Amino acid sequence: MNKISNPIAIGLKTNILISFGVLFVVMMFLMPLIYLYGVPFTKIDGMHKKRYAEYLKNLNVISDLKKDKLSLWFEERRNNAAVLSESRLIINHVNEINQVFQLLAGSGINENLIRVKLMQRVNFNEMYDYLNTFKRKFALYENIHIVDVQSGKIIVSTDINNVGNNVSEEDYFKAAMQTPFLESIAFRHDANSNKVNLIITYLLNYETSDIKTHKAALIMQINTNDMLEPILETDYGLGKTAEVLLVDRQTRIITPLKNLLNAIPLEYKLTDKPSQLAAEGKEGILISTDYNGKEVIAAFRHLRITPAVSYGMIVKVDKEEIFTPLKAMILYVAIFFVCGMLVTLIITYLISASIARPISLLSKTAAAIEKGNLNARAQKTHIKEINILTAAFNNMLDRIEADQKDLETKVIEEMDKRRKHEQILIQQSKLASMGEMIASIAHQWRQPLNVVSILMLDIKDAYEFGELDSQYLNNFLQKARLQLEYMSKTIDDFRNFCKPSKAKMVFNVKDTVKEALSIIIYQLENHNITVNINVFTYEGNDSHFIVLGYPNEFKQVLINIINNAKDAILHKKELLLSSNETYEGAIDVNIYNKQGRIFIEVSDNGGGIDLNIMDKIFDPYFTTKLEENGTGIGLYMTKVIIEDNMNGRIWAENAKNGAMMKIELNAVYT
Amino acid sequence: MIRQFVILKLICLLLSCIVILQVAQIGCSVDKDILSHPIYSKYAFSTSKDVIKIGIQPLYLPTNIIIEAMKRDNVLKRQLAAVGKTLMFYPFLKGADVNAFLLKGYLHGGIGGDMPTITAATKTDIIVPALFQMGFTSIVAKEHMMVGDLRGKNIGYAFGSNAHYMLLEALAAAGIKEQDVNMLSMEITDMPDAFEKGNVDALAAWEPYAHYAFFSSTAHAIIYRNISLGFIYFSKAFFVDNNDKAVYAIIAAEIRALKWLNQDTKNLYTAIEWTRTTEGTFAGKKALLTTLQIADLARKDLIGRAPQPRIPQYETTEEGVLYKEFTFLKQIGKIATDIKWQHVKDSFNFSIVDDILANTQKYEIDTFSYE
Repeated sequence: MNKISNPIAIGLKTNILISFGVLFVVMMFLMPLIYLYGVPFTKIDGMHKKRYAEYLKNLNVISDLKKDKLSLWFEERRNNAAVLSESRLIINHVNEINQVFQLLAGSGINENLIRVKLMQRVNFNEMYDYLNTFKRKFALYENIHIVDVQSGKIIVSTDINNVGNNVSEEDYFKAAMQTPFLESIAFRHDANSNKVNLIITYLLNYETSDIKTHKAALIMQINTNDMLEPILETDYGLGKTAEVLLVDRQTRIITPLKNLLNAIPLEYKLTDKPSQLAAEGKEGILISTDYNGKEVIAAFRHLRITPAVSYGMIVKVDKEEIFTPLKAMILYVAIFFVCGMLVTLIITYLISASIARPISLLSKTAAAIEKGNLNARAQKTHIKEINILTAAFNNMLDRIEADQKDLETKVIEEMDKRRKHEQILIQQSKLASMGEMIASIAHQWRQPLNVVSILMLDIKDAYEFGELDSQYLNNFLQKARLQLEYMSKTIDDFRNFCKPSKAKMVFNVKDTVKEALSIIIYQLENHNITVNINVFTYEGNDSHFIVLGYPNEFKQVLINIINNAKDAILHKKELLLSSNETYEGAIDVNIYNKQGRIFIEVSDNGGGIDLNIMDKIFDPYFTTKLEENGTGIGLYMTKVIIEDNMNGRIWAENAKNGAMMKIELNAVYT
Repeated sequence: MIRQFVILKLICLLLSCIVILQVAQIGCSVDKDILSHPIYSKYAFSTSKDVIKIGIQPLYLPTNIIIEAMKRDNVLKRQLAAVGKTLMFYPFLKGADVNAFLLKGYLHGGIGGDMPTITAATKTDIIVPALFQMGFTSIVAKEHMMVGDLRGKNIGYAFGSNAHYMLLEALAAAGIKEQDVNMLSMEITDMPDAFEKGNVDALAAWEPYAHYAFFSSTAHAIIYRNISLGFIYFSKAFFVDNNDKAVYAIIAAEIRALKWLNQDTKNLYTAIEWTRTTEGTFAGKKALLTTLQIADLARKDLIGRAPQPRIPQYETTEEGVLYKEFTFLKQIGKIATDIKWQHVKDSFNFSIVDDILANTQKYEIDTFSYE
């Protein structure tokens, strides 16, 4: 079976885990990103932008509300001034009161007496009561004065003690008188009370542009606390650091600063960009640095009360405070992402394990089968498709198992056939050397037959000479039996050799070599070929030459090899007949054990094997001999017997003067 | 050698002629463009010396309410007739167009925002006797954002208008260059459609277009506003050509109109209806805002805030808005660098309104007679 080798191959479970894990992680990563920041190049906005826009909207709305409220308040105060200035009571009496005041002031009496004198006048009291009624009704005005514009002296006031006071040196009055304004609006800071009042100056009886002709002006001092408190209030969800600032056209603060308490209103000037833009007439929202050096988001608004009077309003919040919830949101989303990712990975792991388990079991079954366990079968799972695969796999295994059993039977049958065939071949091989065997037997029988013949002549002579007695007869019989036994043994050896070995058995290689030689020694000696057997034993112990195999077949192997050696020697002799060279054939048999392996080396001096045919000599039906001398199955069967039947090895090589056949066998006792 | 020199000289002469012709053609093409405008090309400007021609902007609220009242002011007609004059108003889409015709001599005066007024003062001698507006030009966006967030977005604007300069100023204040946004020049009348269809993400406009865009969705936001001081101005040559009395009568009519509009809400609503009709006729579309919406704008503008159109002197000082706008226009190259502020400042006349207010009876400020 070919193994698919891939160094970067990973398991199915890991594969599913990585694939889905990466997918889910990317999704889990993208989802919070989209949630926070939206989809680029589309109109899908994220929470970050929405919250940011929401905050800007909130800031805009609150700033606009505050501006509108402030504008409305200014408008109401201006309307109050306009209504008072158009009051018939004031217009009808102001000139007369002013003239009386001028007379009293010119008479040299003190201010208290002037007040007493004025209080005695009906028109003064009517105006005094009217102004106080107005003041009480609105509960906003600190003081309402009517001032003579030439002298700057108060001629009527809601507080009688103010009558006669001179306001001509007051900044707001000077500013109002510089140009022929119908009205003037200005803030005034009272250092003693630390209050900021709004002063509206409204010229009465205006008819020309020359202020000298104006008899009187209305001055309304307005307490701004009630107005500014709700305006400065920041409790609208703007944040703890929120602050509302009012600046005049020169960016001087009108309201006190939350974080710089010693900054004096109408003196301390703001230099930050939102304040400048607001004072100049711009409105918007900007990120800037405030008077405190902090980065803020500031909404700036412009209040144009009249063409010449304008104020700036700034609603600012520390940027850090605004972005803290956004940062917190990002943090929560990040935590959610991490937790979600972990949960997703765990779920992905469990899902991948659940999906991969049946396939993994199938894979393990396949591995077991690969190792030879054909009884292994895949188990049913909870996945329908896998079950179909499992069933198909098991069916396939059943068929393979059946096929294999069938194949094994066929192999055994084939092996048996082959074995029988080999036996036949071996027998054929033995029969092929039968002639030489018979010659050998005949030779071996000649000696005992001669002995028996001599013994018979001897016993005849002994009888004729009367020497035959029972002792002589017994001696004769014993000698004759020995010869017959020898002949019988020769026949037995021959018969044993011809009889095929039916089962493997242990036998001593050394003895078997000698027995094989004994069968063919006659032919060798007949051709003057000497045979030397060299057995290298270890301390005379023969047990390490014991092998498991077929002894008769092994003898056949040796006879084949020795016969081949003999033929090679004879062939060489024939070649040397015409020459004077002396040549004596010799065969050496060396037997030794080396590291548990038994080696039998049969070498001759017959000239060796042509290298061109060296790799073919064991092929069936290959022979270099003439047809009548060789069948070509001798060495083939030799190789079959050694390698297939006795698990050994046989090979040929050329030695010094001839060929050497080497047999290697497993020793039973190492 | 001499022959070659003559040929070279002829070539130089020919090239010079081509360059001169090219420049002349460019100059003509600008005039030709504005004169061939589909609206203005139909105008037949009176050539009579007795006709005072003033360029106005019917799509410029709430300023136009004052003009609509002045158009119907019988006292003004009588006072002008007394000096042998009649008054004609020519409607334009924006202040830059008014200036183009003023510079060509087709008009004697115009009404426009502070930027066109300053620009006119740098190109010709004018006299600016009165304030005409005190409202806002605005940048309206699809959602609440800061000007800095406009980076990379499409912004609609009318070239050369007050809103155009306001937009540039806003971008500069936010630290954005013109190149960082995609500014799309268009007529003010095309802006609502462009905004609604999403062709622009924001627009720089004046009223009623700014509030129309703002009101068209609750998501829309005015992200930046700049107070715009509008003025009535006349060519100085016209003013000194024995037309001072006519100018005084016109400014008196403005003061009278402001007073009449403030006197009674009914008067304001009547004038707004006139304005809506004129706006609809000029734009060829129904008026964008309702009477109440326009009245609300008017109350926050000059009409509601000040009964007298005095020019705030502070704004002409070096701390004032007008000077800063002049400096900004110079910085962005819209005004030549050699123009001095004093020249512009001298165009503003602060005495005419005061003179009229000092002689209310003479100018019949309190006599209201509107057709």
